[in-house]
Amino acid sequence: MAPRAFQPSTIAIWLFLLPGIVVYGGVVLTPLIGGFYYSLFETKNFQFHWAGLANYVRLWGDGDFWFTLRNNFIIILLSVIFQVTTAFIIAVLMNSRLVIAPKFLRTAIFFPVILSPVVTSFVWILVFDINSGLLNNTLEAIGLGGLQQKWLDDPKIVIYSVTVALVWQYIGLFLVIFLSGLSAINQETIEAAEVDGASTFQKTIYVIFPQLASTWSVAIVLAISGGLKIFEHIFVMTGGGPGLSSTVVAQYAYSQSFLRANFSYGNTIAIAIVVLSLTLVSLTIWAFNRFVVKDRI
Amino acid sequence: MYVIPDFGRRLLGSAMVLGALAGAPASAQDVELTFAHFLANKSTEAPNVADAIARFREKHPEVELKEQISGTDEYLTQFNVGAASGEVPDVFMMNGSDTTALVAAGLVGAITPEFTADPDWGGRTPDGMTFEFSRDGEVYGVPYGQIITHVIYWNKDIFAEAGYDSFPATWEDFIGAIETFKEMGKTPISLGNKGRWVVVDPLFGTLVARECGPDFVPQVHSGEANFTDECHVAAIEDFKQLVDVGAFNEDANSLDNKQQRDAYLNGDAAMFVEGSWALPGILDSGNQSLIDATGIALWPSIKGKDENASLVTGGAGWSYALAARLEGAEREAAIELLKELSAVDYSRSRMEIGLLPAQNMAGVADDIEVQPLFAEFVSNVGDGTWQVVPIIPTNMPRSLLDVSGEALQDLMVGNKTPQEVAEAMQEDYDRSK
Repeated sequence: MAPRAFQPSTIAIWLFLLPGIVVYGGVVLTPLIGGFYYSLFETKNFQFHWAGLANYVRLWGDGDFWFTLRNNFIIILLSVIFQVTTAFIIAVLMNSRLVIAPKFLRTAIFFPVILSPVVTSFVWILVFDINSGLLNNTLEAIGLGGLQQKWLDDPKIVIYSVTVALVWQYIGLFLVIFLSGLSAINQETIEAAEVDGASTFQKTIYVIFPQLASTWSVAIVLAISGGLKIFEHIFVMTGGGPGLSSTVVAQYAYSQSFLRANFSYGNTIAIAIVVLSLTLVSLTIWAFNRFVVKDRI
Repeated sequence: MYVIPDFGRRLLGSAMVLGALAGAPASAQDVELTFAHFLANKSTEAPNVADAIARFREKHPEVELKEQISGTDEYLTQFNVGAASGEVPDVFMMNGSDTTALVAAGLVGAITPEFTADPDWGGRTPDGMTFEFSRDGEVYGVPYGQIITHVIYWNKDIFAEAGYDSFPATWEDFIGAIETFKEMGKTPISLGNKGRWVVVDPLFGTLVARECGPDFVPQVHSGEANFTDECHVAAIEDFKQLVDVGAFNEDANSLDNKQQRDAYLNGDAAMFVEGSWALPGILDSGNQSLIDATGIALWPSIKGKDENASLVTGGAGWSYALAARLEGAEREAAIELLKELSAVDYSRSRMEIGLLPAQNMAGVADDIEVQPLFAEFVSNVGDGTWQVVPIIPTNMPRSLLDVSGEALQDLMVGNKTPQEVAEAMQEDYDRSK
């Protein structure tokens, strides 16, 4: 226990916390409470009329909302599989002696993270272009012309196409998270495994992976919350189309509020995103604590 | 010389948006006026709006005019949030689809007394041009110009190659021409519908007029017609037929309207369909052989309904309007600004760049030299060759544009049937009206 002489007074603690509380209250809690308040109204002719829970009843039966949420879940699932897992594999490789110029690779892989989503989306529009895009042209050049697709115009594949752009851009973020996790691993356990003759694969699975469980849960929580609030890439690449094919919930909320001037229903969707996000994140943390890690997050 | 035909809360707004949109009087002598619009920078309309504002500033040095210029999408977002918070700028651009809502909310002021009393203002503006901005006999907005929202720009050389010396007169011939263009390896109709409005308005709206007649919009307003009516569903089926025969490029829903023009200007497409606002882009392309080869047309006669064959959707879409709260000197200054933005000089400069004015310019624009293609426009509109009927989205609640745009994209990719598209539109109209 720290000596009392080094413990600041209660007033000092609150004074230091005050700026953070004010900012958090202003930019997070106030809009959240305001959003919930206005979700209890009906917007008509730029005016608000009390509607109780009518918007939530409508949301429950709104097939378009559930369809857009399905798109978010596809993005989250693919992000966890390809983004987080790939980042973990790259991180392990970069931490081993198998990779040359790891610093350069780390910078190169992290670089897309700092770019604006609008910029990367335009790059991917060029890649996916039907006639002159890099992807279709490459497929043709290597004799796989039969695999050419309407990447952004086919409703069956468009959500997967936009997910590729997302996975590519943020893989570096998860890489950095795993690299920092790896740096905190007790090196003696790895050396002990090496002395015992463990292969790289065995070290990764039986030594490194269990010690990175907390890092994994942070990465998955970030992938879930990021996947639920995704907006810019899809807005730029497809506008959510064709039809509703690539629309995600945040964009559905945007279009209800600003394109259809239905602010109340837009707020209702936004509140639903918050509730879903908190629920999924809580479940993930609970599952990790229950089944994977012994040290609580 | 020509005559334009007589056709028929508060919390939501953040402090930043309110601060940007709200205006306030400055002092006893001077009047401060805010004017929010999006007709600047890359807009075709920018020069004539800027000129009109310069003329206003010269005539009214006592007024401090503050322009709040943004892009169209940003303008709509800011305006919506402001209006929902009970605040609009002093003078602003009002879309026809917002007229009912802004009047009901008491945010837009009627300008009827001044508008009708001035022969050079209301007297020069045909009644049909204020249809979108009038409610219960009161006028709330001055049309910013006239637009024809459906025009087929067609390449006569490509049509000649396909064996067509003139634009097909019937729908069946038109479909036949599309099939020929496909065999030639040309895109029949270049389409860039990422923004969704291109299909809703330039392509689909006039099909509705052709199937349902000229009074569909007023009939929907009065409850006599619905979007699920047989004729409206038939119009959706006509559009679907175009999709099914492969009239459009495969990436139609991931390109924008500028890209659809580019494909036409490059000679890759036989046609593109947009509004009259696309004409300056062709005239300024610098490609004289293409300009010479370009013709303008409307959808041909459909299913023998020849009586509707000259119908085309048009109007203004947008207007200049003032806040209901304005009084005294502020209101007078705002009225003067609206007059300047619809004066003869303003309309002349529209014509000079190839855009239709909202005013009857008889006797005041004879000296303007216009390019043949624009002269054909003016003549078609002026002599009744094209009979203008109301634009659907700008005469309906705001949400219908997005809902129908999404539903028609779904139709294009096979996710919705014509009946389902019609039902989606009716459901939204019933909820929003």
